[in-house]
Amino acid sequence: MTSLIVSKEVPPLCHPLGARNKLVIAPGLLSGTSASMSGRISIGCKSPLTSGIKESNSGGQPAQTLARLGYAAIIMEGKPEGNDLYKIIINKDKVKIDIDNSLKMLGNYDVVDKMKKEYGDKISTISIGPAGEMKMSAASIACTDMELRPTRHAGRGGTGAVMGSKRIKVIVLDDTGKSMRTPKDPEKFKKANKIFVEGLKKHPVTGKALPTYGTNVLTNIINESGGFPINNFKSGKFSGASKISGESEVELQTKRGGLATHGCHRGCVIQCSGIYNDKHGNYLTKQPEYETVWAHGANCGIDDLDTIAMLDRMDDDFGLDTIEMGATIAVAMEAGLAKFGDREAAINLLKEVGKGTPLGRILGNGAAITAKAYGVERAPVVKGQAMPAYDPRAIKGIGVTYATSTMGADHTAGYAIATNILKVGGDVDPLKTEGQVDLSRNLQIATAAIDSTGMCLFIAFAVLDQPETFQALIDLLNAFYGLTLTADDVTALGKSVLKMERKFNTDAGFTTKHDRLPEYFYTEAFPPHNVTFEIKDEELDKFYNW
Amino acid sequence: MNNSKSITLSLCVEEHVLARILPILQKGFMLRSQVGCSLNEFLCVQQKISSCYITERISTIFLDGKPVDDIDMTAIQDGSTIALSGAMPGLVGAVMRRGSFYASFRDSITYKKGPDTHTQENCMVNLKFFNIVMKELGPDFLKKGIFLKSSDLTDFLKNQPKDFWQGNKEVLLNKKPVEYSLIKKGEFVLQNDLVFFSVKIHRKILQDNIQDNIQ
Repeated sequence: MTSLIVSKEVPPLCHPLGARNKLVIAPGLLSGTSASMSGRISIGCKSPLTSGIKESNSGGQPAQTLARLGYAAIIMEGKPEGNDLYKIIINKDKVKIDIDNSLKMLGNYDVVDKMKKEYGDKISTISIGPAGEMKMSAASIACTDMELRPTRHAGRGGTGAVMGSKRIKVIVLDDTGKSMRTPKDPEKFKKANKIFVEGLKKHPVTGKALPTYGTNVLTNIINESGGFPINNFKSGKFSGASKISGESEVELQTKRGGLATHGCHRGCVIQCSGIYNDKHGNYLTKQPEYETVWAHGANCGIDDLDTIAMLDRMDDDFGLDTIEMGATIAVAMEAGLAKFGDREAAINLLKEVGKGTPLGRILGNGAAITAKAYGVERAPVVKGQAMPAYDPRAIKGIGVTYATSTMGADHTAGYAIATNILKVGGDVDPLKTEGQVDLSRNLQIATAAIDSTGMCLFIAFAVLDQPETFQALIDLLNAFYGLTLTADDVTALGKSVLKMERKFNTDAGFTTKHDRLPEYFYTEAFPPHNVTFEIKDEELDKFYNW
Repeated sequence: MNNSKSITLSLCVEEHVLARILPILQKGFMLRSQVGCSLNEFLCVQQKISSCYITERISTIFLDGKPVDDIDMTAIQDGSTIALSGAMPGLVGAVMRRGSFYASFRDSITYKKGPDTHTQENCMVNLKFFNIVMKELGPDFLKKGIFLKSSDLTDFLKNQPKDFWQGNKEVLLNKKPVEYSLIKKGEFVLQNDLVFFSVKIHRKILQDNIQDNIQ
């Protein structure tokens, strides 16, 4: 939905922070219904970080609330004159836009507390922190969780800066008086949802690994593989991994009276999140996810969960992407602004961003800008966006996705491991190394398809192994809308989304030369396997040939 | 790696304490084993893990830091490191699975064929248990006993709070009862020693029943 509107209505050459850019906020197709896992919200615009198209999504309550209020999307256009800051209140009767300058430079937690006092605790909110107001390219948009805390973020690509450029601080959603959306065929819908939920619960990833340990269960595995980037992508094995792993995180959370298994929105059965309490047993933040633990932990040489949790809390409050900020602090450490492993220095660098000091303004604009400002060659970015927690030299297939994704370096662009069921892109021999471009393409198409439904991407694990679970997803859509979609239709949808996004980027000035990893990934051997990224440019250039 | 002399430390703990101890297995422990065999033989024959469990639960295996696809085409050597995990989320989690459809994504780091080796007794093999494997196999391995680097064990014990020690019903050092305060300080062992560490569960209900029967 968001990519469709952005690619049709936003001029590709417009300035991302200018009046001609649009910010599109859309709940999923099944949000606001009783379908499980349907609480993702998608946010799209031209990205100030990559200068290409951006689709960034988030969990939390707003998708459900917005859909129940009857909105397919909110589109913010233009740009107000002056320096006033606005809040938007949407309830069943009206949409109200008010000036509220008392919100200026407040953190997301304070903004939500203020809105709670004014509008009660039945609301959900979409807001930006100081980073968004300062139009930093790493700024995120925060969505509140079930406890009405701003812990869920559309993090990637600087969507928060676009919201800030339109001077919107917060959108308050109140669905009081509205009930769940009803399907065209309630019986069929109920039956499909039952099969879908059973499929998620019986699968070892969605039914066991994710609920028990959260996404941070990956730390030990990726570290063991030697593909866990540490100290700004210098090597792939971290001696402190077991101190920050999902297993240790869960043990610590449980000991402190937090929660190890918790959903980010109502209707989630996977429950991959949790509550992280501080040493005194008081709430600090949600359970830091794998990408955050890596970015603020291993990539900065930090092996302390409390420091990582504090940085996560600060990111949420200032409204920043944790991946981008972790990568940026690591670049700053390489530049000599701090030593790798210095916990206090990492916290202080992030404080600079929150305050908007000159140094903070540089850091808040991401890893690429910081590297430029300090003359650092090793900036782990593609199209201006920082790489996530997997080194593309050790895991080359993901390097293909980093290089070719329309979003910049993005692990979720090729996340939906459902291609063997979707049968997208024709037959691929997965055992051939040369097939990695084909595989990555198929993954990106499948991901675009699942993203289009607005379901949580984590459903893809159950869909991979269980065809009946995938069929149940299609049945849910068909029963709700009275459609007769097939798997082929879903695949076609994924392809059309990728094509639209690619066209937008091409019109914005991108060429195949932008589909490359930074030079040092081709020349600098990555320990412990001492490998480089060897996929040839000609192979990468075949990505969009379908 | 071969070290025949070691200190033994045995704990008898309440069940909730065992859950606190299990995470030590993710960093790695050692077993005295026969080497020169395949990973399959090591796990099934020597460690008596059922082949059904290996097939259904241990979806991800690393040998010396390399993801393994075929556990028969491997060779365990003195000092080998084996890491065992359940099915993992994410694309890269799926990529790392044994026999993954996406194995080509990590082709350059995949464990290929093992070297030719000969059978050797009394060698040390390193193991790491992650996630569900840690939870499901960990208690049995701790009961049988494992070798730990003394620094890993003392670091762990030093950081345990009071309620951890309150849940310890018996502490045996070299088979003799000792006060937990001695163990907590970590002064019972030299830095480079190996410790043979075992943990059994204190069966409170069983004890209570026995008490009841006596009365």
